[in-house]
Amino acid sequence: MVEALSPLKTVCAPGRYGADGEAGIVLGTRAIRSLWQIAGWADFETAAADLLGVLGLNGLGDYRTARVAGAVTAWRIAPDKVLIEGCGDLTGYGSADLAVLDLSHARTLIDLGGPAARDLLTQIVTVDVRAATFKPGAFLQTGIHGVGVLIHCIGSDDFEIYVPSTWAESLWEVFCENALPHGLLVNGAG
Amino acid sequence: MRRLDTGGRLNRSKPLSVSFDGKRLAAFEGDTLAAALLAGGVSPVGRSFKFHRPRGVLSAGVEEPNALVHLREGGRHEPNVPATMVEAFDGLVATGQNAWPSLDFDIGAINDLFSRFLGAGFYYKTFIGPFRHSTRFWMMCERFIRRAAGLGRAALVADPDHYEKRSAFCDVLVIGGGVAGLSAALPAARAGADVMLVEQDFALGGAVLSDPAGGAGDKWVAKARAELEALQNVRVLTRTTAFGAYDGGVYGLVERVADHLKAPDEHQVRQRYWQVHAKRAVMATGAIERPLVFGGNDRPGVMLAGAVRTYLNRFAVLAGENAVVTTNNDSAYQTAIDLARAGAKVTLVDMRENVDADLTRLAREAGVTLLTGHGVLEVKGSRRVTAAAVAPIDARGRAKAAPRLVSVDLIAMSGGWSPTLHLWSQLYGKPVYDAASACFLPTEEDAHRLRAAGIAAAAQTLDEVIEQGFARGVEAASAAGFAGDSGTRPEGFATGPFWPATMSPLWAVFNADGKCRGKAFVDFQHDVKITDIDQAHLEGYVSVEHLKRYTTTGMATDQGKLAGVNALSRMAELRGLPIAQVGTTTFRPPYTPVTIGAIVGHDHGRHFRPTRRSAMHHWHGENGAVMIEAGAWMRPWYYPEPGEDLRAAYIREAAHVRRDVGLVDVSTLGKIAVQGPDAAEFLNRIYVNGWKTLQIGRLRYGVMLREDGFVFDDGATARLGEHDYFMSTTTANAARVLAFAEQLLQTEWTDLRVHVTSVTDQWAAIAVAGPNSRALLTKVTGADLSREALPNNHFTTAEIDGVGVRVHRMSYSGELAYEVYIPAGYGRPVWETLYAAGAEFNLRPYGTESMGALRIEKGHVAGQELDGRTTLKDLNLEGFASKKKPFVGAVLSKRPVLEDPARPSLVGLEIAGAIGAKAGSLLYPATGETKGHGDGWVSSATYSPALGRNIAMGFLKSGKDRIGETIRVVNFLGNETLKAKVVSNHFFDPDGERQNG
Amino acid sequence: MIRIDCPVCGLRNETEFAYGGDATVRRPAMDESEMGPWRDYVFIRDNPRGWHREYWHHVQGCRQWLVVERNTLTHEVGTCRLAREVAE
Repeated sequence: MVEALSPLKTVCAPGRYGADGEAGIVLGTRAIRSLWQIAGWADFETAAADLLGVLGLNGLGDYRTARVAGAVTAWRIAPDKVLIEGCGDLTGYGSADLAVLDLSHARTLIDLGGPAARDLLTQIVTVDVRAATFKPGAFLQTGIHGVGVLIHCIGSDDFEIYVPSTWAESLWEVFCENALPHGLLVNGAG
Repeated sequence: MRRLDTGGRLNRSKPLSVSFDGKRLAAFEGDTLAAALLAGGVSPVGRSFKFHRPRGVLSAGVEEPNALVHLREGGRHEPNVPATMVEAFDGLVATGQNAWPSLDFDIGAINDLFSRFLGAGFYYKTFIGPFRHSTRFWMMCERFIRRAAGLGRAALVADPDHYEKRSAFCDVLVIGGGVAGLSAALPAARAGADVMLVEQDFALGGAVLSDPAGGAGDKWVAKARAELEALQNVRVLTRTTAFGAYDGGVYGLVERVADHLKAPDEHQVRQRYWQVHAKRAVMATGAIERPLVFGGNDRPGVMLAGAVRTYLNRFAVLAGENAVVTTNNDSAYQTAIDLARAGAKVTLVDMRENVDADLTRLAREAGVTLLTGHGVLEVKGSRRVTAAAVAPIDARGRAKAAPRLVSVDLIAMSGGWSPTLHLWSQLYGKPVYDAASACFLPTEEDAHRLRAAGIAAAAQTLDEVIEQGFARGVEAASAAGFAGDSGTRPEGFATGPFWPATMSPLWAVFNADGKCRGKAFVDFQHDVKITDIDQAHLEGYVSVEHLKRYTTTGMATDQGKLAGVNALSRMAELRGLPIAQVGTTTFRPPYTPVTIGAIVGHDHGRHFRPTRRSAMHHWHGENGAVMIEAGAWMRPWYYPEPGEDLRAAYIREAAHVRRDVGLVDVSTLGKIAVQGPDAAEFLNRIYVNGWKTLQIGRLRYGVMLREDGFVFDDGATARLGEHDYFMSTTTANAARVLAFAEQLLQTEWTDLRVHVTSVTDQWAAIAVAGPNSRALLTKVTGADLSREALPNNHFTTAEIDGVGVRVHRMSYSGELAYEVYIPAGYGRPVWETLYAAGAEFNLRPYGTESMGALRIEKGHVAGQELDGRTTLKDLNLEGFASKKKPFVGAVLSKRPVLEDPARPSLVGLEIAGAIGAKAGSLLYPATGETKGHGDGWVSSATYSPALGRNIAMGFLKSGKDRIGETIRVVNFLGNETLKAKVVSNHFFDPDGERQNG
Repeated sequence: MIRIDCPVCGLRNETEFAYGGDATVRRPAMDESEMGPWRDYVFIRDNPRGWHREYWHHVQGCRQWLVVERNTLTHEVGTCRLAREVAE
């Protein structure tokens, strides 16, 4: 089987860019293993219970906190929708009460880190990303340049940003351009 | 005018090289350009807007109307910059503007002699009256006005610098870093609130910076700053102006990050636009001094009294050796005293009869000559003030006796102060006039999330400034949820006299007959004289909003920061009303001019909007495609071979598809997963045709309407499983269709168990079209794609290179064709596999232009036809509409006006001759005048290689009844008339034998 | 800047949302065949001064349709609820 290509393949060029000194921003990407959406209706919680149990997740979770069980991460992105990464193929769990949908290729991951990571986010999104408000473990959905994205805070200055794949190259360039004053280190595909 | 050897807040060990009009000026770190100009004795520094009168530095702040300069050169050149706001830097180059050939000798100054023709409403009057019937005369005037009146020159080359936007959140935003602002920030920060303190100056301190350096005020400011800087929850931004206050506690700020440098450091930004979201805000913005109105009050050497003191104490510049200080309030006494102490000869001309005895004693002790009940009637001198005509005045400001001349080189005036309440007014409307302090003030309302403190609220003493600031800080923090310990209020320190409560309402000095002598200006920058206000009143203008526009008072780049109250005072006088009843105009953002660059940030050029790329995007570029924008997408337009232009390339590509096989990237089509047990019912409702019978493994073309009955979108939907459908939309409408589906499901059809999710990004899509397409796909998939195994409108799953794909058999081109859906990450590898395998079938890629040619030959509608103004009937698609079930738009599509058989409907056009039609051309009968909108229009046009002629689709009134008629196709833009025969829009293979084969 | 307190995502700038029109009108039943109710639903709108209920679509967030109370005079924003909950 051929290898899947990242939309960032042509632009994610490892190197040191922008201002000198310690790199304030570290950008990179990694392949998304699997990303599925599960969706239900009024009985969503019940309909999803089996699957969530298998994945080691208990309940649907809230709208602001990511839920992590081993290699699996889940985000409650809407009242009746949960996005799950690292869950493998969920085709078999689809039913009249639970809609499962493969989005593994629909999103591309941008890894953002470095001491100026939060500053960079303030240049790009208009939501409150202060350390006291947007803590590790939290996630939010917002727009970058009008494109809906999901930002998961995975460490004090570390973020995973899920962007729609067809916009990924363009948004990556937005990150890079805004990062130059901070000093930018680009890691290769991790 | 000279620089003093000592004093000021300058770093004398850091001299800077500064030049103005080629002349080198001595400057130090801590200077402004205006201070250097004054110290260097430069006069005039500018020429006025209309009359080209020589002008000097009037103020020391944002309100400066006169000393506007060209700053920097090349791409960094900036016009209309107030010299008072330019922090001096090494290598600063500035030049004068609005003068030719030079500031000293300016041809345009002749306007001054013709000023009576350039009065209030001059511009409007050129439209009417004696000019009404003479357009040519008007054009001449227009040219004259445009050339003669004006400000600086814009740069003609691109700005090389970067700008940046930031979004910030805080609990308490304090605007202004003077004593009031610091007093507010301290308790809010101590209580634990996240505080942002912004100051437009490069130094904190506000009015303290105009006091002699090293005093108690400096120590007070230093202590407050040190405490704030030590706190983690405080951000202090200097060189930052809050220019706009908006709904929802949002404030617009511009930070001049590198304006004080010759150029920004590499990779660093020039300016930064902050959008601050604050729960509460304190406006500690101080006040702006008002000029007095008298003849020649615009002459170089006439300055605001507070500014004179600022130049003396902050910049160590003595603005004159021989000064008249004239005032209607106490505040100017400090200027007179400080000037006298610095060695100037000072006459204080106080328009009031009665002045506080302590104050007069202090002034006399300092050596000031004091005249009460006197005013400056007129100024002598043209390039520079030489004398003041001083006369005793009555309670209305009229001279009681002939004036006497006092020789001066400086007139420092104070007409009182106007609190800087622009931000408050932007948010909450018009301020109210407070007669006691003779100024407009913000009103106090509990609902207000932005409140004024200190001088901005007309505090009368320094203690009151501190008290108000502190109280507002405590209140703001508490309202934001921080009720912790705010500590104690800072102690005050000794200051000079304040203005509120000591102001006389006198604001101008007149002859005994009530007229000003010579030209007495209300708005310096727009050259509005007091007589212009009189003229406007005479012509019947009473509203202040009309007055402003008719006379252009307050409409220059300084937005009337100095002109406002004086113009209102005159209007009030003329109308015999108190100012409170005349009211004020509305304040709007921005408070001071903001560069477009700062607001745009990085969002220009390729980041004007983001670009959407398919998984195969880079293959197209690497293989010679010319790309074209399609909404946010970039799509391959055509793949030219050597020597080919667009036309040659698309004709070749289209012919190739009909002869062999071609592949085209159709990843941009909108794709929506429709899932759930009620999915079929949902599709049945939003499509005009029926969906309940569609079996798994099949797909169907569908058309949807808007609620108003017009056609919305079309596309094929495949049934993937029991509860799973895969809908495709046009590229253009993908987002709208999804949003509409979500709206219906979440607001109205909440009983339907259906989810819709965009999967456009999940799937790359390739259309393979042409007689050889089956053979090619059979080879790469190994699947049975025979007519029997996979008839048209069926799909199957298959593998290409081990990648699971879906092969939909459907045709847009009218050829035997398939769409291959591939998980996006494999899009390019699969495309390349197909391409390599296609060599033996003579496979070529084709672009959107030839795709368009093929679909026009076939008579398929696209965006040009689905333009939101066409109905099913117009498109000859009414046969698709089910009569057995209701669907979105069904009822309103039957409106009588839409059923009118004369409505333009879709037809094909065979164009006569070698020249093709242009989309947008109008259709007219074969004979008669070509007037009005004609009988219809051309929507799409192409050259058809299959038919060997130019064809088009269009909408023609009663189109179906006119098949066979010859009509004219008129392109008014190109002045081109063609003949065309009306035919069916199904030009090519109308029975579909090729696609079903 | 209107700010909308999305029940899913929290307080956000209006730039993340798309305005969705008047939320006080209700769509006629699917089988409604008279022209009048459809005309009223699609075209007839009040233009109130003061408090109003509007649809806003959180298109750059959770993609939920919201019913937002907004004062057309002051831009003040009142309650924000999920449209599906209002509809029930």
